[in-house]
Amino acid sequence: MVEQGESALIQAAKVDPNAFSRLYELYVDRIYSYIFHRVGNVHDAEDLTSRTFFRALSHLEEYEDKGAPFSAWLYRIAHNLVANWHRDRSRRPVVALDDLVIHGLLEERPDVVAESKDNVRMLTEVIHKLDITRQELLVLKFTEGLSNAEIGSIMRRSEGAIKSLYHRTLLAMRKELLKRGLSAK
Amino acid sequence: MRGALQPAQARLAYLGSFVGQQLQEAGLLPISEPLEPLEDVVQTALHPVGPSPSFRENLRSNLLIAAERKMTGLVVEYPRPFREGIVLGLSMGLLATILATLALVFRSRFSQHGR
Repeated sequence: MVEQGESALIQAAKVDPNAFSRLYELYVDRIYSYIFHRVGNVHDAEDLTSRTFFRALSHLEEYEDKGAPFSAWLYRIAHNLVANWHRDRSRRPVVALDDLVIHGLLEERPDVVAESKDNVRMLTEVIHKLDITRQELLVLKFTEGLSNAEIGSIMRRSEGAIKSLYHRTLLAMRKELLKRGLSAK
Repeated sequence: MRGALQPAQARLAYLGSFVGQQLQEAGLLPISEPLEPLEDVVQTALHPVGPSPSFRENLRSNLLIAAERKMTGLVVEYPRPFREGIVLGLSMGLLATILATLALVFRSRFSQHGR
């Protein structure tokens, strides 16, 4: 459900440019993060984030509060743009994980960086081997912290279907990791 | 007798574990080992990523300008990226060249027929 304050802000954004600017500030980081993990490079992530918000601005009148959060509407726009991007380029998404994780580890445990780098690389490869739908599910679940219901509204699937797909994705990942000699324990 | 049964038992055990694994993957059987450790590993890897401050600010000001224009009744369009502009320009240039060449060829042929 869209919160009262946010609902008022969305209504205001339909007639007030500054209100749309505040909406943008609320969601730009999450939308960028989602797109970045799905396309794997800064250039396209910036381009698609811009397109998402321009499209949201031009179609804001069409948005209706039907119980789903406003963020789900934005993610849906981003989802469609990313899907077009993949279709146009016929590329597999590249999740740029190494630098992110290693950067955090360097500050805490420099001694485990080398081993972790290998593990993260292996995990990246395993994620790359998943189909695009499963990759999207993982990004929405882990980087965006969305519930199964929210993910379902973005991916146009039922909550139960998302739960089942998530379960199967983890099992497939564990199987692949074990095959490569890496335990997730 | 016991020795003869051992290979059959091993095969049955393998078949049982294979079917069990397939049923677990299909979500029809509860899994024996917890998946939380794997979830923790994936969570560590999939960090949220933020945009650069300059991009964030540029897009904010571009959207503000677009929103102001929209309020005055103008159509909001995403600015065509530079790279796409070059490709479009080159395509248009190539098309114009082909059309001009064709026009010249036809014109010279017609003028020859006229003579």
